[in-house]
Amino acid sequence: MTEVTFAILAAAALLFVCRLWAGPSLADRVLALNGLILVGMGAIATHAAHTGTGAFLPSLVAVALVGPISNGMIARFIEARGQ
Amino acid sequence: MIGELLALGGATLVLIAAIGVVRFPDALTRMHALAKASTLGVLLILAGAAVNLDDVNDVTSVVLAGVLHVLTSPPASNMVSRAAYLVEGMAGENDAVDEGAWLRGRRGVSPSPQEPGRFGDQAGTSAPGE
Amino acid sequence: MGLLVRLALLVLLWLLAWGEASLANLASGFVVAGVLLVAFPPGRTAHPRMRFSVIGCARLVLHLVVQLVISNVLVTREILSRRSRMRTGVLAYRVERPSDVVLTLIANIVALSPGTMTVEVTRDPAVVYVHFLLLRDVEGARRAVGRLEALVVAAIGGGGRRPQVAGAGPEELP
Repeated sequence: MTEVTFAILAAAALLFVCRLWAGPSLADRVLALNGLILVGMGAIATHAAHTGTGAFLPSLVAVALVGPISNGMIARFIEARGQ
Repeated sequence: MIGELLALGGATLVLIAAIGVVRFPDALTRMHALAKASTLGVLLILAGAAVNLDDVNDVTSVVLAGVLHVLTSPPASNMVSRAAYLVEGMAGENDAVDEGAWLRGRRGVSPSPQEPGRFGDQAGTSAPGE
Repeated sequence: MGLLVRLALLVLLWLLAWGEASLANLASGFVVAGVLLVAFPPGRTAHPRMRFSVIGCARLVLHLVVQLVISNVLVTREILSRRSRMRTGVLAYRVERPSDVVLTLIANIVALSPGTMTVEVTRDPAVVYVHFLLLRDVEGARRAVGRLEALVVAAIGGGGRRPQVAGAGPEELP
């Protein structure tokens, strides 16, 4: 069942990459990157639960802390650029 | 078993959100689709992982990551959707309710032609120095 | 929010990050939390007359969970259906008893549940602009946000400033 979970997450990542490539504006691409980060978080958590090694789990905490900062920066940039 | 089912459910929600991000017509509506994955999907996957992990250290890491994610992802999506709205506006029909259209005129970004600014003289103008 | 509550929350976060609640972690957590609270003092109260009510908080959490499930079902149906039933709209909701914490909570809870998204928050006049994905009737949507605000105010006490009498908000539009 873990393989099915990984396959579903991979399909979701592919769809996000489609939006990253095709998105007409910068906000769409930021959205797609956020989605890729979420898929990465899910993959790390599933892998940790599957193999039992929790060595990669603090990266989830780090991403959850740093994500809003980068989003805020890009939001300011979008507003300033006007596009 | 329960953990794997939870993780599977969460992954399905993330996939549905990805389909929404590809299908929806506008940046602002795509944010809605992503908010779904961000709240319920990742929480379910993290819950499934927390159920299956053995070490207390790992479980607290996962719980902390979930709590911090729920606390910090709404402000992040607020910021990006505000920027997207102020710059692009809404992709609705022409008679859609849009009570925030005057904000875009106030900010100096010129409103799109079918949504004149709140004050009639702002339609189609842009900020000085732009 | 009292100093002790902030200290306790910071120590709890420290313990969660370290993973085990040993005596050394507790002591170092208190030291780090103390240093942080001295270096960055909380500042003037963002929410005077704060009244926590446990029942109010429980009702708010319950409303949040129910809302999350319902809107997830609705948005899933919207994503997977062939015909697009989407009618978007942006509503300006004027907050009756505004304070920083109430505005923040409303904006974040609206952003957390799919189907609604805050687009802009202004403090003066205190208005929250909410973008809806499926906007059937406008008054019902306004009432829904009103219910959320009532729940938030019941949970953490009323806000500070009275609403402005003459503001440049969009409610003045004929």
